Amino acid sequence: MPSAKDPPNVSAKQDADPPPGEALTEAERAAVQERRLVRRLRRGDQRAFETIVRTYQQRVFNMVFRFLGNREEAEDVAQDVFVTVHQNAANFRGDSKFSTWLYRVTVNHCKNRLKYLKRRGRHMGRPLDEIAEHQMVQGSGDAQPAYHAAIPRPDDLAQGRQLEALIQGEMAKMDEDHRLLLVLRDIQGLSYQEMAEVTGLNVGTIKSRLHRARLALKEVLTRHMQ
Amino acid sequence: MDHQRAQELLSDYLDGELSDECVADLEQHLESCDECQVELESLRKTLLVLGGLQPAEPPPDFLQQVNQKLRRRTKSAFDFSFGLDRKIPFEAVSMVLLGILLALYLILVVLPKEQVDPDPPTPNRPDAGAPMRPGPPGAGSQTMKP
Repeated sequence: MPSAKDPPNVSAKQDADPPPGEALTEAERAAVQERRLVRRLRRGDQRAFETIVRTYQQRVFNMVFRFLGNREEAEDVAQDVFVTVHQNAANFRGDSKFSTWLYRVTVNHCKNRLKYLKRRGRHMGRPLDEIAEHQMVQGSGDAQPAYHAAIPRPDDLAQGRQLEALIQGEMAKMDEDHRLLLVLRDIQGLSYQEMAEVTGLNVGTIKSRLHRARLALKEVLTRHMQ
Repeated sequence: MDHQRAQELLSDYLDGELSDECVADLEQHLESCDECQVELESLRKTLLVLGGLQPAEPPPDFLQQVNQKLRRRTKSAFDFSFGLDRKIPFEAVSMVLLGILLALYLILVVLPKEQVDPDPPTPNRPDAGAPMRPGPPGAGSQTMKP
């Protein structure tokens, strides 16, 4: 898997702004703004860094949380991700999207934390669905409960939460590569090409692993629905 | 398209990753296969549920926490800016520290050993510089005769 510490090699194509006066689509305008922001970040502009944190914190946090299944760990790892971004911004090559690089950094941090937790025997000893239930009961003291789904559940909130905990619990039992692909594709909504860049796997492998992961989840959900 | 192949392609079908030709073949199979239809529907629901999970929100003070962690890391043992505008590389600092330690070792340990000689040779004595030899037995107890 490519490291976040790649040598500096900023591609001119990615770094260049379009000629002035040229009409841009919304996506193109966002891409130009992102490139400017990253240029400022690489020069050590603290405001640019803070804008990047605010822009991506939710996506990074959600990804880490869904992957690790623990809110405290997710907060710590998500912070570490942005610290790494700050310290290695100059190494961002610019030949992929910034978000792709950010996801790569995030995945590396998640996997490292998982290894660390396994060594310490602190992960998987307590299934994530238990954690979910615990958090639902306790409310975690947060303004926002850790688990709550936006899936249609107008008549039964508890059932929706139970379903969400079920999903998270089933994902915790999965092989971490399968879980990662589910998170990247079905929760974060990355394209297969982006997933290939983030994970270093080829698209064929991603598709077959993702299919197996989805089937495993489908079995559990089908049993639950029945 | 055979049943096994159709089952394998359901995920790609839902992702819109199949060619037009493949889609046509699969849909033709789906029309005649109840099992694949059920499987497709279950898979579709699974993806809806997954995609519908509400994003977990970071704490409101997340940015402050990141900045705090950043400051802690920057002020760690590897910050050798010494109040200067730019950081001094860790390698340079470690080489200087090694040099200082070596100098201290020479000054405090090696040099004092060379200087402290309990019986330094004097140029006036005839046996100056000659190694000490033990005398004959009893020589030490002999008394000088006048």
